[in-house]
Amino acid sequence: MASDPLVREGLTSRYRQRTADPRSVAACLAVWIAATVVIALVPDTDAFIVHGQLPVAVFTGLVAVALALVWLVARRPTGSRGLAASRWLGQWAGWWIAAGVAILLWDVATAKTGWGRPPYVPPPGQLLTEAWADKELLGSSIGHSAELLALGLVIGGAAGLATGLWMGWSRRAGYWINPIVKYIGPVPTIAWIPIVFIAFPDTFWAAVFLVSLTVWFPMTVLTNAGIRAVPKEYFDVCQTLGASSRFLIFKVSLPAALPNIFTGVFMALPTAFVTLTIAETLGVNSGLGWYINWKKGWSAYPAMYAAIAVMVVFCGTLLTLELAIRNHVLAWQKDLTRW
Amino acid sequence: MVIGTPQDRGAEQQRGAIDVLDVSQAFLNHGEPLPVLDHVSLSVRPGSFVSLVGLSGSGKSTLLRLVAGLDRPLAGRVYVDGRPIAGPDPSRGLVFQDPTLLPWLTVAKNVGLGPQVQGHEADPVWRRRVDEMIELVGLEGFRDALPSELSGGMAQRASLARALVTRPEILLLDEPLGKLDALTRSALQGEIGRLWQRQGFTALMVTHDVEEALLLSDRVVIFSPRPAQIIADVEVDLPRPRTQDDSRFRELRRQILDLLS
Repeated sequence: MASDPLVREGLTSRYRQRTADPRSVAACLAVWIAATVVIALVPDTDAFIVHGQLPVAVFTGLVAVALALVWLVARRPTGSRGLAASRWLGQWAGWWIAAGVAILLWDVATAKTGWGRPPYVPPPGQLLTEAWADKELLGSSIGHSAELLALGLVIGGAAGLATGLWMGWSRRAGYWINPIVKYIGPVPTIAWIPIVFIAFPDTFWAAVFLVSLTVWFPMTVLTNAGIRAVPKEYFDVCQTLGASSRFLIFKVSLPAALPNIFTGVFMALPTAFVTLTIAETLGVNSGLGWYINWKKGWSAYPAMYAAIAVMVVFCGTLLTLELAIRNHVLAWQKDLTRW
Repeated sequence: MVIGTPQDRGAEQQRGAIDVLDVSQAFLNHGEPLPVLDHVSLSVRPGSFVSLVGLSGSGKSTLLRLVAGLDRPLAGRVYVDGRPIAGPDPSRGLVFQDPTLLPWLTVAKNVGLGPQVQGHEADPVWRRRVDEMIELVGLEGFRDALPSELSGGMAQRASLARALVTRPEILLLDEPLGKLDALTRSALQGEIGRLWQRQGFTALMVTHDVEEALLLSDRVVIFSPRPAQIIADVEVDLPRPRTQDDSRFRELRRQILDLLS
């Protein structure tokens, strides 16, 4: 079939790879070069003290150079590397143009015209330089948040998985645990703060407990729902093949419930971020949530904005990672919705 | 295609006798008792092929689940080779109307589920058996395919292979071809007949298709509507291979259809 030139041509045109469009690549380069030139050469406003124009200009210049290099590789999309580069440009050129325009407008609105009244709305360079100047505290805050979140996710996730499995398998466990899950689960974790911070000897473990509790609820409910939704015939077939209950739990129920379990993690992450931030703000004197409030207290707006930006990247990356793992693990699922 | 009678195949197969003695089964349906089987007795000789025919909901599948050991009867007993059934056992394979392959495992892993469950996963003898079984049902090109990539007929072939890989003495088939199109169904009927002849198991098949029952079985057992009782037990005295245009075949079909209506 593929030897028929008509068919082959039709197939190529119908399933054409979305490769780089030279016009959008040119627009992309133009925007980033324009941003570099404007930020570096147009004089700043005299109304305010402006920091960090040079690092931003260097950064935008480097982005322009990097994009140009990718384009050089992608220009002849014959080899696998060229094709990959070309597809990447074809996919993301739109976002690179938008990002270049945004950074240019932002700098003009702040550093060049003073319209945004720095430091309330600081120019991009000021975020960078002030975050860099405070890199030790900011870095340790990121580390603290990551540690707290990781512990909460692991403990709460494992507990939720175990509770959900247990409820799904033992009628007695369901009898005792179900009402507890129904009444404790929906309570906003924050409401426990007064009790928890007194009950725990130190605030760090109190916060870990709160994050775990937040994660535990959706994980329990969705694991349990997943286990109950496993087609009964899977057990029938495996039992006639001689499967033990251990096999039925870990090799049949658990994989069959994985789609639900991943939804549980997906739902647990954002609420875990909420609990984390609030716990850090109210009790634990470290972490990104605390850093943001601390900087606000000192009116150090650029550092505060930088920390918020770090938070966006932090949460977004984790969620993207969760979805990527899910798409990989659930590749067997028919009609899997890929986010 | 030549399918011999159990006698032709000699005395190699002596195991796999099923004896259902005075069995009754009922369920609760919205709080009301729903009798499904009413004092049913049935004996199946080792190595024979018996079909259970009846209207939908007449308890045929319930009987199959009792023989599989997945349920226990409320009254009466089920024996295999003279021993009462204690629970599910690999010596009694089961094939459902839906292939019920585990969707996260490849065809080879699904077929190898029995050996895996029994801890023979890495045993070369068993691996060869799995390979042979996959070839026997014509899926050698799809060893690493996922169930979602298979057609209905291919999935049902994989399900047959999975049930047969542990060489069961009894194969229980619950409307195995009920959801397939006419062509695939016809092909798989031949396949089931060949596998039965080759492996020498006792086959107990629930079906709605009288022709399918007549093509494959030594006996066709006809169930009354719920609560099911056996209303007729028809010996299929036709030589194999069988064809639908045979006059005796048509006579038997007429006879069974009359009994069913």
